[in-house]
Amino acid sequence: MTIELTSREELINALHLAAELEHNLMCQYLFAAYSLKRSVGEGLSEVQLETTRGWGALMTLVARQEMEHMGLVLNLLTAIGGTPYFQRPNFPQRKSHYGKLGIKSELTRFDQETIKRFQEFEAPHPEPGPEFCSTRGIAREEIRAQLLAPQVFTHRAANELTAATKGAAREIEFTSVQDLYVSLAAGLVTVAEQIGEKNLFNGDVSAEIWGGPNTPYGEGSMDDLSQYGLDLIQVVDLKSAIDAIVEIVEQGEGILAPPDYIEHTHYCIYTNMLDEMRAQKPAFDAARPVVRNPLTKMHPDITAPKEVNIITRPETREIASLFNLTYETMLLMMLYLYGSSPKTKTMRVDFMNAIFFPLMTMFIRPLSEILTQLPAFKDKKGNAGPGFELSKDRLVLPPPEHVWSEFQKYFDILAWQFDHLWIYELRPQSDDVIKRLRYMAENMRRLADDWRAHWQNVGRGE
Amino acid sequence: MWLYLSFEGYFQMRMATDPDPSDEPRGVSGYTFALAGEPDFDNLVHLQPDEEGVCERHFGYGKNDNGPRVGVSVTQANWFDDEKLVYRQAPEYLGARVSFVKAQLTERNGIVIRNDLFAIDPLRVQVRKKRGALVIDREDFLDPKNPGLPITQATSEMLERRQPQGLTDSSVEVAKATGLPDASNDSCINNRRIRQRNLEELLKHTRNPVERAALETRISQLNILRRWWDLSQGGKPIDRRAHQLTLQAYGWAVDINGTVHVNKIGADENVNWTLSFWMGGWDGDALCAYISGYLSIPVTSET
Repeated sequence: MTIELTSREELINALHLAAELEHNLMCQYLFAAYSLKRSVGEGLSEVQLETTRGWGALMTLVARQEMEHMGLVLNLLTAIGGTPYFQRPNFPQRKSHYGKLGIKSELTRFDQETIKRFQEFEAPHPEPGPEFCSTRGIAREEIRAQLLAPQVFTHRAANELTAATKGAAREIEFTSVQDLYVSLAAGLVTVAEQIGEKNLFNGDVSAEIWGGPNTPYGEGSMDDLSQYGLDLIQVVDLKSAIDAIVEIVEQGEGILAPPDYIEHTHYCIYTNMLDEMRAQKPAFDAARPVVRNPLTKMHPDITAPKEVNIITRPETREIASLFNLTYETMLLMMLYLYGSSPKTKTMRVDFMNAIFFPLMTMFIRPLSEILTQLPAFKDKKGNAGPGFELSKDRLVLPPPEHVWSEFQKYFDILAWQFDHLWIYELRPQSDDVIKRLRYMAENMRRLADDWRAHWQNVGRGE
Repeated sequence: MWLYLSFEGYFQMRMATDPDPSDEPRGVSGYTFALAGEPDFDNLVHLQPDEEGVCERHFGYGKNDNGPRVGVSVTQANWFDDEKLVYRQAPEYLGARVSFVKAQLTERNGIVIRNDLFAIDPLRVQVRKKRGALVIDREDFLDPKNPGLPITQATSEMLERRQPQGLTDSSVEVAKATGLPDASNDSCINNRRIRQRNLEELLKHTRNPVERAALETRISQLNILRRWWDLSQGGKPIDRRAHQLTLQAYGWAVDINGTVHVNKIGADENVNWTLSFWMGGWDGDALCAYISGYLSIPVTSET
């Protein structure tokens, strides 16, 4: 159900919900992707391993685009005077947590049930038939035409929508992610008409992070995001705001997507993946035996405590805690990066150089993959995984003058912890998990030292 | 007296590409993969086809099996008398095989090097005559005072010795070396289209399911021409799978300072030798690129 949004505050609240959802889905997708088996030594044939790798590649692409969507939502928030939003409840949550959206928040390994759930998250509404992702040419155009009615991305249609939904409830009445974004697009048009476009887009747009050939952050690897399947645009006015929302729903649900792109939408990626999984002969289990919602502890905001699996194996729990600290450090850095506190372009690039490649690709992912290889329990079977746990008291920024030194403390703690894991004493140094952890330890020490030296020691870039 | 050895050819480096982590063993989210039936990545720079870890692929069916073949050899060899200022050919070294022992191109996704100006490490150069006799073998140290220093502890000055000077897009020099008709984007894209067609033809003649799975992944990766998002100002740059066919990392110039393990040419071991080269034309489907350079060695007694 599309909901009328008629004020800046309502738009900001809806964007907070959107940021939370993108963040939530990204974690779920990554958890499933990192649970996949990675070698024939795990019981796959060469062909099955290739198929599994392909699924992993697609899932990480979708997760990257969820990060991009979150970035676009943060830019939308900034543009209309909101603040960056990285909050979300810990996993797992009851399905009712997100009201009529019906989004189940849980961390589950890659299997048909999980991919079916993801497909439902990304489904256009009304949900199309199976021909949507497989037909080409005119037939697909017809389906798109049905999905586009009524047209909502115009002033006139937005007004009609406003009249049609007058008096609707303001809580989470959205019935799908698509409806949330359709409502946001219509709401932006409505509020811009009410208070004037310039008054609506009164945020500090220089605080936004965007990529492309003309990005001011070229030295931060942001000049060519298309090579990663991404396009992060700056939001400065109504047109660019609508562009951002169109990009999100095109990539996700596929509504408004060009015909030759439909098969690459999240909905169709999951639909086709599900079909491939069902068609495998013989059927095989592509994922490691990872348990649902493996956490280091119970968190007070969890609404489905019976679905939690507390990791009891001490050496695994230690690595899961290290993962959580790395993840929280990254979020805290992003909170600073997207925040409006005064900072130079160089300072932004310094933060991006720590977050986007090193923390995400060299620590968050390898730690996740390692966790899915390790036993979760002392007394029963089942592997662990990345819990993406958040301690609410940690997502608070230090005063601006202490930001750099405060993050230095985080990096130093992380470097020390990577160096002193208990698992080093339990497994031979030739073990693949140990080698990978040692590699990360080396890299975290380097990152901590470079942060201390304000990047004076990193090798020269282009 | 000096011995100048110019060398060139294709090398292979089987490694993951970002956003995969740099120790990713098979490739997932980047565009390079250890495919079905192939061993894990070893991340090593292989200049010779018989080195352990080389895994060459087919590029088409029958006469269309055209693509990079690993092998870097000496193409020009000259003695230079720096007193008489006279050059003289050194044919005994023509065709000699050049190797970088266990070398890697390192970046670690911004941990060690920023933005693709990869450092080469470790660096140990060997030259073997055509019949296999090792004539030169010397290594370079990041820090001669601390030969065991790992690259993660190197300063920016130490790293810079091992980095290229910069990157050149659409390099004519690379296009000429690798046989592209020119260095334009169109030529790069066309080259990938031809490769894709050749692999599709090869797939039709392939029955082995493991080989078919690997080919299907390669064909899918070469499907780079589909529409992507182009909302950003300035438009969408050419996809890196094509762009890198004419990208050149130029200006590596290392004054090799370390231990001489083999010296059969009467080289002066008390001074540094110069190794200079460029790398470019990275073919992500073949996991190969081109190298062209020279080794400049001061000689005390010609052998």
